[in-house]
Amino acid sequence: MATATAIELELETAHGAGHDGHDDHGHADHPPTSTGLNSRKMLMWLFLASDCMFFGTLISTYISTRNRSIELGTPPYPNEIFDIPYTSVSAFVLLMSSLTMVLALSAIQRGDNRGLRIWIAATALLGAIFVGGQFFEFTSFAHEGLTLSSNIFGSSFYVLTGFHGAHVTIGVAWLMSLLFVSLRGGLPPEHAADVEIAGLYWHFVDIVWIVIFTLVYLIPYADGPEGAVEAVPEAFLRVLTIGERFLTALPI
Amino acid sequence: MTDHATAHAEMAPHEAAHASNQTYVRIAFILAVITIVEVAIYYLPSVRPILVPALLILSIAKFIMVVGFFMHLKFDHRLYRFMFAAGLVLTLGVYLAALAMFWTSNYAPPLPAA
Amino acid sequence: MASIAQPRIHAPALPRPKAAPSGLWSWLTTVDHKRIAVLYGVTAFIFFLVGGLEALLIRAQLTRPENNIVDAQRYNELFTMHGTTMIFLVVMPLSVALFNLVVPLQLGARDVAFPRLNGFSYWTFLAGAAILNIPVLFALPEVFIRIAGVAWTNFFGSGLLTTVKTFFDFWPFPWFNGWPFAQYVPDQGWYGYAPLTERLFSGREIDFWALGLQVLGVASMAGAFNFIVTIINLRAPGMTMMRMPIFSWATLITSILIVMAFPAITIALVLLTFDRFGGTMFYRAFSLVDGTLVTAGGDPMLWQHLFWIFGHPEVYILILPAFGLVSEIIPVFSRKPLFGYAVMVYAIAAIAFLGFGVWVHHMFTTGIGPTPTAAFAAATMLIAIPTGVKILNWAATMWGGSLSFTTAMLFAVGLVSQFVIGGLSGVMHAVVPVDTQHNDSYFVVAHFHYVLFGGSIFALLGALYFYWPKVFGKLLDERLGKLHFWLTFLGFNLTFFPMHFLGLAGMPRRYSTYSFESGWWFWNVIATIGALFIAASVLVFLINVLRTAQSKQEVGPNPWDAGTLEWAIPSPPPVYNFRIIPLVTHRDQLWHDKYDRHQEAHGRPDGLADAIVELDQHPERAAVGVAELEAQAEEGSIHLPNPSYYPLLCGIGIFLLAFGLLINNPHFQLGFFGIPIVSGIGFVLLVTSIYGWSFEPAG
Ligand code: HEM
Ligand SMILES: [Cu+2]
Repeated sequence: MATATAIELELETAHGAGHDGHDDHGHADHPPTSTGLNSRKMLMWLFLASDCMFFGTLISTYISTRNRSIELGTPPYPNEIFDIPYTSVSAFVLLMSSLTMVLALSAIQRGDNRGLRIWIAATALLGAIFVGGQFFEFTSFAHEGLTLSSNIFGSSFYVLTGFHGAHVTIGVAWLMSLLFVSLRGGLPPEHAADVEIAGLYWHFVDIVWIVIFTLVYLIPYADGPEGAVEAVPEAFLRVLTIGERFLTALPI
Repeated sequence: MTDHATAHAEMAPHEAAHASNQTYVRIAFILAVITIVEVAIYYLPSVRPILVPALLILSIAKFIMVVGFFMHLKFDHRLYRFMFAAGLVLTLGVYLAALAMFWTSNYAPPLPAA
Repeated sequence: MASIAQPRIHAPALPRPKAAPSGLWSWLTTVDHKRIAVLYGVTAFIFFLVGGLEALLIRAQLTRPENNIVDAQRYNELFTMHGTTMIFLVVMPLSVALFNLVVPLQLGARDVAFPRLNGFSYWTFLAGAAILNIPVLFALPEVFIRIAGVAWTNFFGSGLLTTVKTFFDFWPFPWFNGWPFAQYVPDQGWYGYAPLTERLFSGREIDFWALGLQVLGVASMAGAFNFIVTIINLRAPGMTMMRMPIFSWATLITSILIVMAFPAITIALVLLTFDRFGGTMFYRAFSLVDGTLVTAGGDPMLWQHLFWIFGHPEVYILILPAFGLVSEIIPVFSRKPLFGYAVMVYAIAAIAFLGFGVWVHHMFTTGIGPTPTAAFAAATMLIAIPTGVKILNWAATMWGGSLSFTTAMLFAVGLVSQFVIGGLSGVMHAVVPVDTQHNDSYFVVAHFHYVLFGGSIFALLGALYFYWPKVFGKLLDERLGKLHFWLTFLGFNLTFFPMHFLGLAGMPRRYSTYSFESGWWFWNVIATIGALFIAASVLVFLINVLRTAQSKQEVGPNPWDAGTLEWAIPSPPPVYNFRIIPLVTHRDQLWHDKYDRHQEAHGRPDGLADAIVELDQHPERAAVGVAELEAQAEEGSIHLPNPSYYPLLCGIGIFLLAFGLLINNPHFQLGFFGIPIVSGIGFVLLVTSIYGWSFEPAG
């Protein structure tokens, strides 16, 4: 293991070897890069761009079959089973955890260790409450007969929200690890990037829930209140139909 | 993409203008209010005709505020902005097209005769 | 853990190793991009041989009508594993091997941005490849022994066949049913259409395929993130994006395609895994309830969309690295800079971007409706424009150049000519009424072999000849190389050109045999003969490799007199690549330094003047002198990342995690309270390794 190819020198660390992971070189500044940007933070932004596609795929899968269980008459139906007030509260909890997260970052940047620990702990706690809330939501839905295999709604609902819940769980574990490191004195202000990167992940998980909350829970379902039925696809399709008519009218 | 090699000037992104804690709390307050409005209009019969667009617009507003302020994208390097926006726009483009195809096709699988 | 104990020394306390340390552990724990490149390359080449063997069996079966070398089931398994192997275990990892080898060197960097993540990519790739191929490992020998048994019986009468049969039906371990895993070879085709992959219609084999591909996806994405950051952040000073070598551009854009396309298939496979393990019904329109079919609500079209949303970008993931390599090789052997560099960059970007908007051209025959059909047909034809631009630019690069047809150049020019054929049949598919005829016929098989073999594989083989001296310090033999090229070229065209005729004559793909009356016998014989030529060419290549390994030659830094930075340093490069990071003022920096530095006028735009002044003040940073300086530089040491065994442990963890799900089956129960213990061990190993990794000093 310790076949140390590692030999160190100040000369040109700049474009030298990478600097992944938890570098405890203790320099505040990340090694200079071509763009001057922190490579790990860039990695996180790229991951989030790609995660858009992950969640985009899952959310689209859900939307493509949004009303199908109702149309096919295979209960339980989403509009009957959802408990909007309950989910609103947990959506609110997750939203507020974004505030505590950003306050944690602000604390470490100011060198306020106590604040950092308090806000990270608060964020992890709010995240845990969200996951716990989701666990109880799932259990109560299961009691009402909604399972992965009860109907297509059960399949797509559980997999989508479960995938998001797994993201939150990983985030909570990450935050707890940061808290642990900070308590051991391992998070000086120079390491603010560690908190910033975890924060980016955390906020992303939050915005995904903003989208899910609207598209899955709030927008009414097929036999919901009139006028709201499939308003989005309707409007979208109207545009497409106009386009199609225009095309077929062309003398070609 | 443009040329970033010489952009050594932007050495420390942290030094970019950051919002203060007060701003963060204010943003969180607005987010909370929007959430309350979302849930409220869900229950208001009079809003029904425009419920869906209203909900979409409100959640887009929340999305933009979290990304812009809490994730600092509003103040951060434009390369980050480009990366995230590219991922998001590509996802939207691909899946709106895909969903259009799902919405135009009728899902009515004929049951095979017994 | 050894490397935690190791202090962070900022003084040149440790002696700089003269040569890279050797031994098994140094390979298992390596984070050096050049070694990871070799690991990728060797693994991919082994799978090239496996996939080739499968292809030969397919060709053997199709040589004559109503042949019976393998049965229909084995035939399905052969084409499935052949396709999956060639795409995910040969072309992709060979491209990644070249990314690893070339990109950091071209950029003037000492390694990639995240060296351990790079190691992780490789070990995870190996885990996925192993999962996919475990059944093949057992099934292929069985196929061969059975064939031998049949042949024996044909020639010498009965006897051996029964012996062989009993041999296979006997297995000393009662908890296995027959040969382990041999009955689990995936057989549903490389795009795994639902509902064939549902439990109702398939067995355990789909799980090997689905889990293997998910693991491979993780590996590809990890590598791609790494290369994007490396290319954006670790360029040598002065190397602006538009001064960056074109292969690095191809790598950057391919990596962007990977991180944006793989999520679609990963989720598609996750949904499939849920359908198979969790009772969901994403792709299942019907369920079997008490013996009657009831509507379930799932949709096989969902799979097709998700698969091809990944699938078409994937074909550009396979070809863009090849385009990048050819764009490096052709200028060197034409003694001219690449024609229209900027346009080439834009063309790659345009191809990649449009590549996300054409996936439905694989679904024209599903009856998806006139509007989508028209829109996607038009978009597909559009892609031919940037592709044509690239062809033109390669031709223009060669135009008026002083050409030397080395093996590398032959393969590069081979790509240009063969890819045109494949591109043209691609445009034919874009014409929907025509595609309705082509779809699922041998015409499509001809198309994608012209682009994949005539395109990707030709370029990768050429790149092996081109970069071999950089990796091993020795030139591959040119005479054998030319034989290799001409055998490949001849065999390739003999094999695949007749498939156009076969397809137009109506021969469907994926059928294990055809009738005497069909009239397809003749061209099938030709195709099989061609396949034998290709096999011979691979043998010639292997001989070449062995001969070269024994030769005592030593090449200098720049045997081809090429222009990019990787040729500034000795061959093979020292562990740290560049002792002194060169200053970059031009695209082909070495050519500039060597041939027209003196003509440089000051006061040029785009900051060039400053860079040139800086270069004048620091003559030691001129790329052309880097290798000479290497020899005289005083003892010192250079910061390099420590080796680490966490990437390997993560890979093992992921392997066990997936493998546990696979062996926890009716034939082989290994569970504890319903939890597959092997998966549990894998999970724990993975999580602890991630923590160990995070707290290990990057060093
Ligand atoms: C000029 C550019 C290209 C065009 C217009 C094009 C067009 C098409 C079309 C329309 C199909 C569907 C045929 C059918 O199944 O009926 C197809 C299939 C295919 N193409 Fe291309 N293509 C192009 C380039 C490429 C490249 C660069 C690759 C890979 C390196 C590639 C690999 C494939 C493969 C593997 C299939 C078969 C997929 C299957 O198994 O069904 N194509 N192409
Ligand atoms: Cu395609």
